[in-house]
Amino acid sequence: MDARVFTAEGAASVQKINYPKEQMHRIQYTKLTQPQIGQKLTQAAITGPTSATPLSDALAGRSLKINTDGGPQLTYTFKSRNKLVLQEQGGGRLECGYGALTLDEVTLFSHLIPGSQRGYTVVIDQGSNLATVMEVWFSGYKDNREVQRELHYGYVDVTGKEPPKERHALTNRLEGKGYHWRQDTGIQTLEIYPSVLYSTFVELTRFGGELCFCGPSDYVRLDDETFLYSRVEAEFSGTMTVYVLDLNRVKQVGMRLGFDEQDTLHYYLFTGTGELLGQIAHFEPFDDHGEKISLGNRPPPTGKGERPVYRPLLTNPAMTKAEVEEAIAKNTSVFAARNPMAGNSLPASSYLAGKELTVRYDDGGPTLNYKFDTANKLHWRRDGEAQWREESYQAWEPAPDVIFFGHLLGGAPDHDSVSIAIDFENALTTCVHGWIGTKYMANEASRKTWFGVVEMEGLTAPQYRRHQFTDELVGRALTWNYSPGLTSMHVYTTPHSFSWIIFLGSGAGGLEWSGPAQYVKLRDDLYLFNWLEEACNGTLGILVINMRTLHDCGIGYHCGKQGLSLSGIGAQARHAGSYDIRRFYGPKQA
Amino acid sequence: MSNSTRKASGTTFVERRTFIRNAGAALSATVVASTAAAGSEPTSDPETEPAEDHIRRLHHTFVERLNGGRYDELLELFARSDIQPRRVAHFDRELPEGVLPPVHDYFVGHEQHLDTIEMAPDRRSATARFHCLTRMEAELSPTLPLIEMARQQGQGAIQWWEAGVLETAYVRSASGWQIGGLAFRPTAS
Repeated sequence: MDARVFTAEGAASVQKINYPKEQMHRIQYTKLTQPQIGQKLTQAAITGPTSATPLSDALAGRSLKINTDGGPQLTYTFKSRNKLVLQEQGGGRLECGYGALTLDEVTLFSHLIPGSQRGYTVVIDQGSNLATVMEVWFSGYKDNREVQRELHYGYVDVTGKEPPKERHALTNRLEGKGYHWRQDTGIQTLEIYPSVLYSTFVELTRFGGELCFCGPSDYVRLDDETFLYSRVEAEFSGTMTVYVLDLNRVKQVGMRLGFDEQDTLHYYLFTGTGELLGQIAHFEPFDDHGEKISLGNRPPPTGKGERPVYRPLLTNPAMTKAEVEEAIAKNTSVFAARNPMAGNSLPASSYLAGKELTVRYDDGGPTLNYKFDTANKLHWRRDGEAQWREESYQAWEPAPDVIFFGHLLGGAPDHDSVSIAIDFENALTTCVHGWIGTKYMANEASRKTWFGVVEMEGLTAPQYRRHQFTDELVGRALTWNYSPGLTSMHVYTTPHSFSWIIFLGSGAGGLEWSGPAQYVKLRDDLYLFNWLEEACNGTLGILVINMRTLHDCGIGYHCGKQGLSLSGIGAQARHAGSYDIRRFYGPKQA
Repeated sequence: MSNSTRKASGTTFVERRTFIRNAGAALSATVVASTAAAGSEPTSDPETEPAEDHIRRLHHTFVERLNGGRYDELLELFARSDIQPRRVAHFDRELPEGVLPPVHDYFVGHEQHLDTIEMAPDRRSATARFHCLTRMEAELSPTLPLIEMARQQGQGAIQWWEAGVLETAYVRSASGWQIGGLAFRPTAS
């Protein structure tokens, strides 16, 4: 099983939560070669998958011929509960190890093919004789370790019986659901299906449950209560997880195949029990049940295994420090006009114009003096400095007497920025200090969030009260419409991360990515939220979210080949629903 | 397989979006040659057929290829590489923030027949008008990560329908009739 076993040495025997040395998006997974993968698969193809639950003998002694529409014809002879003989397209007999598990009338079995880097995971409905064949293979993408898959729909050919006309099919009936799963391996995950192309997962056991991640996924309807789901941890380990889930009994049987960060092969079947955590809205027309996925003006995928996969570092290659400095020297943009991310922006506020104030942050944070000359020009200096610096800024008033503004810190070596929320009614402030560069990528933003007070004539700052981090948004999902044609959904999945999903033209959820995040409570129903697009395009985004108006204002801080930009964000929200997941996080006693 | 996203955003999508802005690039082929290459499109004898019939067929070919997304086959229908079809010229209206000038995406109307053809006295040029409904598409500004992500799944653009008149100029060269320029005038705002 995947869970690390802590040795009895030192503190490791006390620690019950398995925090990895690096989170999934930071692990430098080995670029395994085809021969390396072939060697690692050899034994598993002979023995078949392992399983903590005893394998089913439902197929032992039987023979099956599976016909698929336009796909393989597979003839199986199951010699025992873990040995089968396969004939593909009526060809030669291949003896393979396999394993099977059942969930009511559905049998899932899986095997690799000796001497190859491929195999099949097959789902058969014993009642309807419908079958879905998931063909899987390695070395099909430039990162060989990433498991590829192709779905084939068909049926079990029964002599003397008319082939069924129905087929299993893609579906959006799972879209919006979220589950807690506990496998027979001891592994626990939170899994959310906010899209028809992707899914979100939180590895509570394998990765400590700090961050959510996402991967390209399949959703297939077997019948009204039984579904097939799969995901591949693309851009990470490349591991595939596939399972059949029963919505009413909230049970699963599945298969996991891939190589972990130690390049160890995991190939096992599992059973699991779950809990439905919630169902958020989905936004297709009511007559759209998701049998087809339209990719707008993109040609439909035709190649074997082809599907949309977001590969952020292909789109946004990492830059060197020298490239960063060159790009920023060429172009630095501060609140440029014509920004589609701010198409539904709050109006700019002149609240600060003419004011002088100091923001003082705790615990070694900055103290900054401000003179706001106009609605978009300010002077600032660090407390104690004699010289004032002029900057362009932009401000919004997301709630009465709460101002959010930001600007670059001219002269700072790492092209720093500050994004500051000031609550004048309570004399409190929070600053998200951003700078360009992490130990992983030179063009990736870093940030530090500071809590403090505002000092100004007429205000008396509190001694102890501060804004603070919160998990009140965790579990919620909000759609954000930035401009015509540009809408995303945020799922605030863990107290330290979130996922964003781009809608397809049909209104279904489409491509998705995830990143670390922080949530700060400014007032009741008013939050300062920031996120980092780590191992991605490097953006730091900071929003003030007003849950009463369902409107936000915000700032994007980004460095890329086009230079450095500080830009406005403004969108209108809809509440899509929420998941009951907060209880899974936080320090716990085992 | 999975790198298809890159493939789509890198070629097909870009070609489509830039088609009319750059139309007229490699334009040596004649209409007759183009229609022959198109397979299902009819061929004819340029010497014996009336010019109006050539123009109608050229128009039909243009609409069929545009509606079918065969953008790389459109270029050869145009007369010169320096012609910039004027399909954006009359869209000088207020557009949402960050939206680039729109392009025609799909034509519907009158079974795609031309309403009028005005032939020049020397019969070497002509102007035709076509009342139609056109689906316009305007891409969002290309530099933002969220938009790039949207593009990879066929989004990142806004679409709307407009009724109007497509006015097409045709020119006759030694090798046959070709499109000299395009203009679209919306009939309602």
